[in-house]
Amino acid sequence: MKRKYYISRPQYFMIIILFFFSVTCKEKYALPKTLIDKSYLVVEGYIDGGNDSTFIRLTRTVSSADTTSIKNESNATVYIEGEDGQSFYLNEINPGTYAGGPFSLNQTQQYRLNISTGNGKSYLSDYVDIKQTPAIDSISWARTADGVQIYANTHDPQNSTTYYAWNYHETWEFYSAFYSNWEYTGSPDPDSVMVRRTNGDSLYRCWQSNISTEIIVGSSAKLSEDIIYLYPLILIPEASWKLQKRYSVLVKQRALSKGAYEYLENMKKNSEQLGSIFDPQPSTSNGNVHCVDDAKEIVLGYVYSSTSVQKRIFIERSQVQDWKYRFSCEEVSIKNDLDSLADAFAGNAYIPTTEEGSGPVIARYKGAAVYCVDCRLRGVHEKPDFW
Amino acid sequence: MKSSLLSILTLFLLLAGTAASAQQKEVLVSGDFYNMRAKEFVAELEKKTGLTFYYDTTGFDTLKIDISVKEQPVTKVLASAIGDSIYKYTLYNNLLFITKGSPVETELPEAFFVAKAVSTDTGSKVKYIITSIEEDSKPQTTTPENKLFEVGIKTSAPLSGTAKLAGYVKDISTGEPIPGAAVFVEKLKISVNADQFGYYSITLPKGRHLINIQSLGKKDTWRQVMLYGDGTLNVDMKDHVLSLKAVIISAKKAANINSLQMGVEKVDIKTIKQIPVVFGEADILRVIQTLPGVKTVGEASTGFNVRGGSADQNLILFNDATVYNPSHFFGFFSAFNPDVVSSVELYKSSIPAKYGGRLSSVLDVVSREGNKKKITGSAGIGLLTSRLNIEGPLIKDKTSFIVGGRITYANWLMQFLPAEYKKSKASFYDINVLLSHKINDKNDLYLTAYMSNDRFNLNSDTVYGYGNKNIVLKWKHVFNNKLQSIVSTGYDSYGYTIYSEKNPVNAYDMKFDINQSNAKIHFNYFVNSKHTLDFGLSSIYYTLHPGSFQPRGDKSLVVPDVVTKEQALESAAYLTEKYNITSSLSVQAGIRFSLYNYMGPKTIYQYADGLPKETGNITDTLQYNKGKFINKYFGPEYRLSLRYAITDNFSVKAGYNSLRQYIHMLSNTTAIAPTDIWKLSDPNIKPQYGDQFSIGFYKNFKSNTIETSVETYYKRLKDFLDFKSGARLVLNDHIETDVFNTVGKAYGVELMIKKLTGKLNGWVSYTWSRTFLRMNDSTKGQVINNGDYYPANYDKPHEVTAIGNYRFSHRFSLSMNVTYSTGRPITIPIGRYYYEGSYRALYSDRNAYRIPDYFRMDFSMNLEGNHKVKQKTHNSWTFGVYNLLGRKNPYSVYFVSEDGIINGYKLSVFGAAILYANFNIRF
Repeated sequence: MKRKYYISRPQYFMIIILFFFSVTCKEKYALPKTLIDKSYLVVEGYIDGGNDSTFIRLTRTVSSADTTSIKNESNATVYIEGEDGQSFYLNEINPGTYAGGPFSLNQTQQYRLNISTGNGKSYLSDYVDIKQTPAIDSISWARTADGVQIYANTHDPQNSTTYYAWNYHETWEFYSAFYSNWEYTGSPDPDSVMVRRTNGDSLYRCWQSNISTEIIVGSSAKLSEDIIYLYPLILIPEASWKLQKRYSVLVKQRALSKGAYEYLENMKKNSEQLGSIFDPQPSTSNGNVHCVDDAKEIVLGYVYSSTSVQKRIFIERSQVQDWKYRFSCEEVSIKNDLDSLADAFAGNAYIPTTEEGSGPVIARYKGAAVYCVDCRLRGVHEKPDFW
Repeated sequence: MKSSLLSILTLFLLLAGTAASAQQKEVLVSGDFYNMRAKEFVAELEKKTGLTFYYDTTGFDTLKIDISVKEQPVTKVLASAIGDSIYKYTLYNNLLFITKGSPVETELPEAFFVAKAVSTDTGSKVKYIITSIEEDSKPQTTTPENKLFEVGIKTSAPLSGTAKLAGYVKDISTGEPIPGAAVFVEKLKISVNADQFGYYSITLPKGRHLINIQSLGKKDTWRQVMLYGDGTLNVDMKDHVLSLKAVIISAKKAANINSLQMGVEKVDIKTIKQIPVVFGEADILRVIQTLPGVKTVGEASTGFNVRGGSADQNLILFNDATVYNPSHFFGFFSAFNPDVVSSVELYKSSIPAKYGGRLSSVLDVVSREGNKKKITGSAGIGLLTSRLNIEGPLIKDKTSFIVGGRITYANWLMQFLPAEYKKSKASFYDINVLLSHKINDKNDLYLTAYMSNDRFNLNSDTVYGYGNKNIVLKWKHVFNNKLQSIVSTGYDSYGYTIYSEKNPVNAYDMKFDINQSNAKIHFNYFVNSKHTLDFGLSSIYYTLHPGSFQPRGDKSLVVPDVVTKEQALESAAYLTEKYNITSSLSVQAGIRFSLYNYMGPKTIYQYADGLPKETGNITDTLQYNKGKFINKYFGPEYRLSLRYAITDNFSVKAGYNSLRQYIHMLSNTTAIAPTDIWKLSDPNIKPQYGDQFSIGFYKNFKSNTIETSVETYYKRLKDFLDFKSGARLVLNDHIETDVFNTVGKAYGVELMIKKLTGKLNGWVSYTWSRTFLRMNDSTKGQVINNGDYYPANYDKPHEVTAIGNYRFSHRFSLSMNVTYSTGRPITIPIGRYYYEGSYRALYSDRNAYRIPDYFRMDFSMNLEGNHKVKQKTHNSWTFGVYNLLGRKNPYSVYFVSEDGIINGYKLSVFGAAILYANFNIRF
C-alpha cells in the first residue's frame, strides 16, 4: 500500500548561524581643515519688552581651523528702532555685548534692531512684535532610571503664546571628602610646621553653577490648548555630584515668535540632534537680520522681542531615592617628622586633614589629595544669595 | 527485459535524413523453413531479404520454426512463423524490429516531449521509440533536440515567405514558465525574449531552422524546426545541473549582441543566491546595486539610484504591482522573498513604452509560478528570519499556487547596537500568495497578492510601522499566433504609522498612505518577421493621505491635524513598433502619451506671481469639489532604440528616452526612510520630466563566453524637487512652500566585463557618473549655492564592483565581492559661531564636500555534499565574511555640538568584519 504524501518534498531546511563582533559603529571624524574667507556677522539676543535689560551679542563666525574661541564684534553701534521712529541705544558693556534698558517699549508697536558695524556696514532686522510670556506654572522633576529629569509646565489661557524658549542657571552645593583641620606651613621649625587651620569651612563647603548650553524650545502648536506639560528641560545624570547635597535651578522662560521658534529649532536640529540613520542633511538657514548694503550677505541669528519670566526650585538629595553619588577619596597617614611631612605636603598635591590618635603628642597626621580636600578647586565657597 | 530490448533497438532516426514514412514497399519472401531455431530462421531471412533484424535473444532461442511460404511479405512470414499475438514486427527502411508486446514507432510521436509539432500524426500508442543507432548496449536518451519538429501544413512545394512560431518556454520538472528566455536563430540574427509568462513569438522565413533557447540558470537547448507555416512549439528547459563528469558545451551566448534592448540588466535568482550578502540572506536589491550605473547611498538602505536618478524615480514592480517601499528592517533586507522570485530585470535606458510614471528605471521583479505537477514546500529557519513556502497544483496541470511568508525576530540583534540604540525593537513579516490558472490553451489567469509589514522603535517610545499591500489580477488571452492581449487590474497601497503613548498628554498617532487602483490592457501584435507592434492603455487612480496627526488615548490633548487627501488620475496610451530593417539593423520606436488630472476635493493655495511660494505670499485659497478636475498635465514620451550589428559578435546600440513622473517622494534623507512621504503633482508642484540619450557598444570574445560593454549616457531633468533648508515635510498643507524645483543633468560611462561560464566566472563593472542640480530662480525662493549647479546627494563619480566566483571542484568554490565608490556629497560645517551658550556649526554650500570613500570586500566559501541527483538530502555549507577588511565605511558623517564644542562623527553601519555560516539542507 503506497502512502500518498501531500507535501512530498520540503526542499529547504536552512539553519543560519551568525557571529557578530559588532554592528554599528560611531567614531570621531576630524573636521576638514578648510578655511572660509568670509566671516559672517552673528546676532544673538532678544529685545526685552518687559522690565529687563536688553542684551545683544555680536560675534563673527570663525573657520573650523581657527583656534579663537569667540570672535567678538566690537565698536558697533546698536539700537532698537520702533516703527514710530523712536530709538533706544545699547552700549557695549563687554567686547561684543551691547546692553541697555530696561526700555519702556510700547507694547502695541513693532521694533527692530539697527546695527552699524565698525567696518561701515549696516544691518537691519525685520520688525517684530513684543510677545507676552505667560508665567511658569511649575518646574517639576521626577526620579527616572537615568537620573533626575526636570520638566517645565506652563500654559497660556489666551492660547496666544504657542512657542516657548527656556534657558536655565543651575547651582549646587557640594562638599569635600575630608575636612581639613591642619595646614602645612613648610616652616623648618617642627613646632610650627603644622598649624591649626582657621578657614576649614571654606575648603569644605562650596557651590558650583552652570548655565544652559543648548537650545531648549517647545511648542504647543499641535495641541488644542496652549499647554506645555512635562516638557523635559534638564537631565541630572545618574549619580551626578550635582545632587551630593542640594541642587537648585533657575529656569527662565520666554515666548517666541513662530519665525524665531523655527529658526532655533532648525539650528538645534543642525547642531545637536544629528546622528541617527534617518536624520536629514544639515544646513544653515538665514535669520531675520539682513545686510542693508548687500542682500546676499549671510547674517546669522534671529531677533525677536518678548518678556521674560523665571522660577527657581530646590532639590535636596534626601528627596531623591537612592542617589548613588560617592566621592572616592583615600587618606594617607604621615609620620610627624619634618622630612615625612615635607615629602607629603610640600608640593601642595596633598593637604593634611586630621591628626591621628588622641594623645598629647601627635605621632602621625592624615592627609588626602588636594582635590579631595579643597572644594574650591571644583567650585566657589561664596554662598549664593538665594541659598 | 523491456529496457534490454530497447537497448538493442536504439536507432539513429536522423540517419534517414527526414522522418521515415510508413509507405515502404516490403520485400517478399519464399522458401521452406523446417525445424529451425529462431536464430537460424532470422539469419536465413536476413540472407534472403537483405534486411537487418533486431530482436531480443532471450526467450527467443528456444523457439522452433516450422513454416513454408511463397511470395509473402516478410512481416507476414514472421507473423505466421512466430505468431503475432505477443510479437510485433516493424519494418523501417532496411531494418526489421521484432518486439514483444507493441510495435516500434518509427516516428517521434506528438506530445512525447510535451512539445507539440502541429503537423505530426497522432493516434498510435507509444511504447518504444527509435532514437539512434548505437551498436553498444548503453541506453540512449531521446532528446527533443535530436528531433525535427515540423510546424505548419507539410508541403513539398517550394517554401517562400515567413511564418510565425510561438509557444511557451517552461521548466520541465515543475511546469513553471521561464520568463525572459531568449529564443533566437543565430544564422539570421533574429531573437526574441519570452514574456513574463514564458510566451514567445518569433517570425522566421519558412524552411529549416536551428532555434536556440537560452535562459539563465537553465541548460541551453535548441530545437530543429521545419517551418511550413504558422504554428506552436513549446519548449521545456531543464535546470542546469552540474554533472560530475563535466561535458563542456560551448553554446553561443550571444543574447547581449542580438537583443535590441540596451541598458537592461537581468539577474536570475541563482546568481543572486551566489553573491555574499551581509546576513547570508539572498537579497535581490543588494545584487542590483552591484550592477553598473546603479548606486546606493549606504548600507542601511535598499533605495537605489540609477544613472543619476533619485530613489523615487525607480518604478519597482512585483508582477506588475507597484511596490513603494522595497525594504525591510532599516533596509537591511529587501521586501522580496527570494523563494518566490524567479528573475529580476532592471531597465535603465531603453525603457519600453508600456512602462511609465518614473524617470530613471524600471525594476521588474517576476515571481515564479507554482509547481503544476505536485505539492512541494520549502522552509528556512535562520537566526534573523524564518521562511515557509508551499506550492503545488490545485488542479493538476491547470491551476497552481504558491503561498510564501517570512517573519523576523531581530530584537536580539539590537543588543549589539551602540548603547543609544540598545532599547530598540524591530520586526517584520511579508506574505506572498500567487495563483495561476490555465483556463484553456488561449486563456490564462494570474493572481498575485503581496503584503508586508514593518514595526520598529529606535530607543524611544515612538513606534514606527510601515507596510505595502498589493494585489493584481491578470488575464492573458491569445487570439492567435499573431495577436495576444493581457488585461490586468490591481490595487497597490503603501502607508506608515508612527505613534507614541508614553506621555499621555502628547500621545499621538501619525499616519500617511498612498493607494492606487490601476487597470491596464496590453496587446502584442506580431505583424510579420519585420514588424512587431506593442500597444495598450493604462490608467491609475491615486488616493493619497498626506498625513494625519491624531490624539491617542483619552488623556491626549493633541489636536487632530489632518491634511486633506489628494487624488489624481494618471492615464496613458502607448504604441511601440519593432522593425527589423535588415538582419543587422533594427529599430524600436515607441510613443507614450500620458495625461494626468489632479482631482478634487482639495483646497489649493494661489501665490503671488513672481514671488517665492511662501505662506506670506498666498493671494487666494481655492476650494474644489469632489470629482472636479483641478488641473491637468500631459505630454508625449518618446522611446527610441536602434541596434546595428557590425559583426556577429559586435554591435552598437543607441537610444533616446523621455519620461514624465507625476508623483514625488519627499525626503530629507538620501535613502528611502520610513518617514518619507509621497506627493502628487498639483497646480503648485509640477511633474518631473527627464530625457536621456545613450549609446552603447557590445563586443563578445572567446565564443561569446566573455561579454564586454561600454555604455554612455546624458540625461536632463526638469522640475526635480529639492528641499529648502529646514524644510517641514510632514503635516504640511502647502508643501510647495518648503520645496523648490531644480533642473538637473546627469552623465556617465559604464563599463562591464562579464564571464558567466567556466571555472572562474563573475563580472567587473566600472561606472563614472555625475549628477548635478541647479536652483537659480530667486523668484522661487532662496537660490542654492549662488545659483550654480551643485552635486545631488547621491552623486558618486567613481564606482568599481567586481564579483567573482572560482570553482575549484564541483564541491568547493570561493566567491569574492569587491566594491569601491567615491563618498557621497555632504554639507559640512566650514566654520563655527557661538549662539545660545554653545558653539554652532556654520555649514558650507550645499553638498560642497564628500564623506570618505567606500571600500568593501566580502568573501564566501561554498562546500557542497555529493552531487547525486537522487538522494534523501542535499547539504551544503557556506562560510562567509562580510566586510572582510573590517573597514569602517562611513554611512554618514555628522556634526554635533557637545559641551560647547563641535565634534564630527562618522557613523558606520558595519564597523567590523561580520562572519556568518549557513548550513543548508534540501530534501
